[in-house]
Amino acid sequence: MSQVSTDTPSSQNRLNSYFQWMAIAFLVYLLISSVGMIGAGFKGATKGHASELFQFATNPFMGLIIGILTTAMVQSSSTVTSIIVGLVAGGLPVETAVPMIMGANIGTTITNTIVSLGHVRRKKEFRRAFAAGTVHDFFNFLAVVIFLPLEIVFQPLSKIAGFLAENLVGGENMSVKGLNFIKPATKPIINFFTDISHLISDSIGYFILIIFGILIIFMAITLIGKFLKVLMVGRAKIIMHNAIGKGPVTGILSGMIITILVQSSSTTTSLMVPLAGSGVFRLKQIYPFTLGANIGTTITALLAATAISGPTAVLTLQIAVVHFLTNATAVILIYSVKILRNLPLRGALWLARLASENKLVAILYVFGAFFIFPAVLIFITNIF
Amino acid sequence: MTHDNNEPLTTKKLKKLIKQTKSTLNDLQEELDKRKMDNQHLEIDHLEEHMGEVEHGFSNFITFLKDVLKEKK
Repeated sequence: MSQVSTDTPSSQNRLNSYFQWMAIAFLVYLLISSVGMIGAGFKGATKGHASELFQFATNPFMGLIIGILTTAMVQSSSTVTSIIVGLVAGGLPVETAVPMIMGANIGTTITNTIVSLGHVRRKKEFRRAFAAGTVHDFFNFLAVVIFLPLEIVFQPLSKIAGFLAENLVGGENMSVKGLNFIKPATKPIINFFTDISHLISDSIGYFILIIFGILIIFMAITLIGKFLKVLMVGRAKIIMHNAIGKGPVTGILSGMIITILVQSSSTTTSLMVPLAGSGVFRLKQIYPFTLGANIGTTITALLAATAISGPTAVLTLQIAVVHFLTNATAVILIYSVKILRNLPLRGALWLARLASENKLVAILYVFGAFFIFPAVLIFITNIF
Repeated sequence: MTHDNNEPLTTKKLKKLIKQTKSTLNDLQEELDKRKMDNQHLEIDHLEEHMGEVEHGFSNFITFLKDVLKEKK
């Protein structure tokens, strides 16, 4: 009898996790299909003139702002970068998409900053938590300050990414070279939603298809994140236990692996907030995990890029690789130069000190950095 | 310089004392580091709770706004 009572929960757990993994596999399939849907919808809606539609975003600052605002609103850089990959598949020029990707990096940092506000009741704890939340912001702001001007003038990231993408896929046969099974696999679901969209309205059918694609991406990424959090928390614990007492490189790698496992940089960076808030981990110790999360999150866009086949496949892979290169080189460059490495730490500590003295500063910061500042930039860009 | 019992402290004794103090300091530092690491392991054991905390971003924000407004009144 006791045998039955102990075995039942564990076999139920196994069954549960089996179903959860099946659900994740299906959601990944939906994610990939929805990227294809956005690409097809965008191509159909713009009739090959996508670059004209996004003429307003050819100003890199406008692209950056679009990335910041959309990511801050949906609180998921994976969702936004996957949509950008879909848009590139539909004809959005890569050079217009690059600043958007960089903006998504900034926009995503709002999540852990908001999580840190939950520690408001205890002043010291709030100061530590807010610093842990905003160190990610300062790092990504700094990365954009360094890499966006470089990209505008010399396009080093786009060029390297283009070279890598050409060699990885090449020709017209997209997915991964010689392994083009994605297109036939996603075709039925893309066709299904295309038919539904045109049934709803023939004149704006392609726009409806884009909306379906965006909604499915958002739903798929949210649910994948929820399932993976439950399934991967044990592994995340093991990784973090093993990283204790080791150097920053282990911290970066651990942050990267945890983010790949849970498919969300916001989850990894937000997890660091209570760990730092309690005072058990110092800001310097959680900083490398945050940087690793920046690299780990780029896997989603790479995954999304596998959805596209045909002539635009090189471009979609190129934008996904740009995301990876931007985040990886930012970590390597900023973390290896001491003066640059310390800037985000100092900025976060300074802001946290101000915010713990006057909480209005925290509110002004959240609205100012993620909404008001981009809005002012849009205004200025429109004037000049 | 004299020792506790007012006997003069020889150089040899002084060196021995420094050595003992250094060793004690090292032991204390090791113990402190070990305790810090134990606390970190303990905190990571509560990762599920922290995962839960991450879910409440929006309610955190509302609570924060309420707190600030209350303070300003």
